[in-house]
Amino acid sequence: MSWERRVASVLLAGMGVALGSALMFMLIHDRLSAWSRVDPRSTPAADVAVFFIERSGWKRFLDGLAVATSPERSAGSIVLASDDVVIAETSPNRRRVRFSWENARGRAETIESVRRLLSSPTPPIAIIGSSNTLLTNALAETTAVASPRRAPMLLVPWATSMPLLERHRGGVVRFCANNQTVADDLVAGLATHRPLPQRVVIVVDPRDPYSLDLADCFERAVAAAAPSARVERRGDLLARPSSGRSDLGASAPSIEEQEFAREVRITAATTPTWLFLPIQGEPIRRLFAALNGAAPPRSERRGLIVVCGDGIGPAAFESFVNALTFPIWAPAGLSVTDRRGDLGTSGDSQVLAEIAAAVLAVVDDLDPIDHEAFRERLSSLKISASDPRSMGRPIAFTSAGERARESSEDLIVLEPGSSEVSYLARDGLGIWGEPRPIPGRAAIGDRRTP
Amino acid sequence: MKIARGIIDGFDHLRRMLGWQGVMIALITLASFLFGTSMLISEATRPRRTRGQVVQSLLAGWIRSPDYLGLNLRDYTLEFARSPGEEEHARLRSALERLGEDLERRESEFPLIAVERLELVDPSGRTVARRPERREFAQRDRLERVSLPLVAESGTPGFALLVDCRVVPEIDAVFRAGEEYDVRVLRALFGLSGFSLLCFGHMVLYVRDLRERVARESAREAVLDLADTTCHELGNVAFVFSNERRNLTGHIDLIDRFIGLERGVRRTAARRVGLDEPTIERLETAIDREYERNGIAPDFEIARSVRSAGEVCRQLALCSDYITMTVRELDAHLARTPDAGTARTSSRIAPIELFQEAATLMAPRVARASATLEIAPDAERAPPILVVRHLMVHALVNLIKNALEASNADGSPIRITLSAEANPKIGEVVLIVADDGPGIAPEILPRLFQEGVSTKGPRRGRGLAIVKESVRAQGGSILAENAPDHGCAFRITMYESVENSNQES
Repeated sequence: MSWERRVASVLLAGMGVALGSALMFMLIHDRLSAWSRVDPRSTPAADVAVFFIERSGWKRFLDGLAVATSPERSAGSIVLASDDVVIAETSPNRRRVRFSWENARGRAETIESVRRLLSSPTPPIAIIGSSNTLLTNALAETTAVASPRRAPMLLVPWATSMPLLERHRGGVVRFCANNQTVADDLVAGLATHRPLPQRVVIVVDPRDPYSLDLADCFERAVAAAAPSARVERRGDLLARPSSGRSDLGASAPSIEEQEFAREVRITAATTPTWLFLPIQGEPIRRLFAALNGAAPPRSERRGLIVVCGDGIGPAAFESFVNALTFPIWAPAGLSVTDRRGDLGTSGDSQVLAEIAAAVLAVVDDLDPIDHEAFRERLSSLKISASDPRSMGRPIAFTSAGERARESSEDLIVLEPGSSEVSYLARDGLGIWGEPRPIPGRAAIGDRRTP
Repeated sequence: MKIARGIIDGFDHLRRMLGWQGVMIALITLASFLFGTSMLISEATRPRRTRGQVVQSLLAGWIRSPDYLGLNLRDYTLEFARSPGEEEHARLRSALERLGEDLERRESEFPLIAVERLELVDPSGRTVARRPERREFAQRDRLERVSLPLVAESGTPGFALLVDCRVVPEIDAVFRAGEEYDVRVLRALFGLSGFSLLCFGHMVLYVRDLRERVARESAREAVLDLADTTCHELGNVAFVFSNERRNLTGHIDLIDRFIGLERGVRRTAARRVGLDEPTIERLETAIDREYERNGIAPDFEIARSVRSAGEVCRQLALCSDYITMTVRELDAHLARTPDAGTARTSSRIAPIELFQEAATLMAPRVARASATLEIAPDAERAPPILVVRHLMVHALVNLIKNALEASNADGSPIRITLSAEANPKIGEVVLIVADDGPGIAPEILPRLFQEGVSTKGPRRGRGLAIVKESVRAQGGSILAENAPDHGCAFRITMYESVENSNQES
């Protein structure tokens, strides 16, 4: 073979190899990339499933986790993160916890998702969620049927309904206050700083278990604080589906709702009235619009106080500044005064950071990590307010799974004509102090509907 | 197993035919064709499928959105499927209404798909709820219907939401343009890879044809080589044959002269010794009787035998001439044939080989002449020269024959020496044929290589002329010289082969 043929053969072989390599690279590039990536889902770690309806909820949880794992808090550190999965390492024992977002929307999807997790070889040790009482109930009911050795602990950030803990006794802990606490605090705050009412009206959304439960709680609280008041319960107002739009960004109120609002406002001009609205979402906005539309002359506005549950968040409160013609009282959902600067502008960060810190603290103490030990250790967890892992208030639970009483939440008030939202906090004796402007409006953020 | 063996055999056949490079090209060509085909099949409709998936995914994500209670359309459908009462139906319609209102609120934020109508159907295809309740569409035929399954729980009947929607024309145009572009690119890829496969097939057929032609050419070359070798050997035979025939003719002429003179010489000799005529007659008769008793009739049978021998010689001469003529014709033909074998062309041959071949051919003549033919030992060390083998051997044979025909005055046998001298500086090799005979007459020496110059009588003197011509045709030269004391030497000067020179330099 002449040298020309040798050179040509070598060139041809080289080009063939290069072409083949390029072809193979193009064909398997994606697969190679996938191989080279570390899959957070396959890394050994204790699993925690996070159930929020929207991705924004997951993002807020990540904000809370970031606070809990900050160097100042020393609860741990984040070691790996992808879109829907984050792995954190506890401190000081460096145990790994994998937080995964479950994109389940609606009750049926939530139940299916939990069942799938429970049937997996390694079910999660805990479930965090959800954004909603109905969905949280679904989580509790579905996890309750699992065997104790495989049942995950349900960590509830916002659902306040009283019967929730009964649905999975010993398997649920609540990081927020329950409805009765919220109702007692509100009625006590009102009774401290406002005259007791002669008339109490409670509007109930018959489709919403949260509404029904909170209404009962309000009724009990009013019965204790103002036994002489006439209590009326209205469950018929919110039966009709909404239609149209209003200025408040919600559907326009129905005729019945408008008539109800007019009657309440007229009566309140002569009879001090507390109007309890233990409702959420569209209905509460419709009723606000109806009450605003039925505003009597300014001189006759004094007798009405509207009281909400945590169905309307502090951020929404700020949007009502200078827009409403009646005062609103509501729970703040957090301790305004105890919050530190690193919790940012989101009020959710406090509860979510507390949940993340609690999970990391419990897992750090477990060896080996199993479901029963996790439940036991979390139920008896005590993180004092001075502990850097706390978010300004102690983290502890009663035997039933409720948040310990010392972790009190503040109240927020918006007076008509006021340009800012005020808050009330208990003093050392448990007495509600005077309403004061919130130090920095950005301190109170948004909350999900319970 | 048979298939695997067939594949391996085919692969091996291809490797033998095209070599590893060819196999590599075959594999790459085939791979690119299969790649192009598979891409055309699987990817041509990808934009259309992607568009469908995008529409389906967007709508599926949209209908999953929950209301303020956390329930979505699927939850209400499940509720209705479990207990299809008035209240559940109202909630279902309300959920559908909420989706519609949500759509209207988000109309400006929903740039891809415009939803015109929602229809919820039960497993039997009956409409359970729709939004709007009554509405006719002017361009209904341009709407796209997407079916979204709503219930997946086991044991629950399958409800579905039918969505009549229209993808925004601009987006549709983008997908359509993408599909057209994809199809064009993929067709080009398919066409190119298919064409390269056709080219490869053509190359395989061409290579096969080429191999057959090479085989034919090889056979032809082998035949030419054989013909050339035959020509060479036959030429040698004819050469020897011709020489021997000339000698035989001389012998027969001598016998013929003897027969013709014998009786007269005998009578003359008898008279000279004094025998009378009757005695001479009796002697003749006695001699004839003695010949007769031995079965020989000199006047008749020997003369006849001599004539027959002469006739044989003539036949031999004819055959020899015919063979020589045939050999020359074949030689001339081979000389004109470009593809003739290596025997026709100059080749690198060591002088010792040429000497040995010439000595072998001349061995019988040398032995008959009681001469001695030696090859000097230094001939083995002489480098190869570039010559036409049979021409140079013929030249050496002629020179040896020429030396054998010389006769020493004292009758002692001739001693012939073949030797070679190399002059590496100028790349010359001299082949020397020397003898210890009487040498060449000085008056002959200048004209020695001219045709017809000979001391052996008429019709002779062609051999050396042929030798000179042959040597010159091969790029060499020849000269003859007398030795100082006695004998002569023929010096053929040739040149080393170029390859040999290069190696030395």
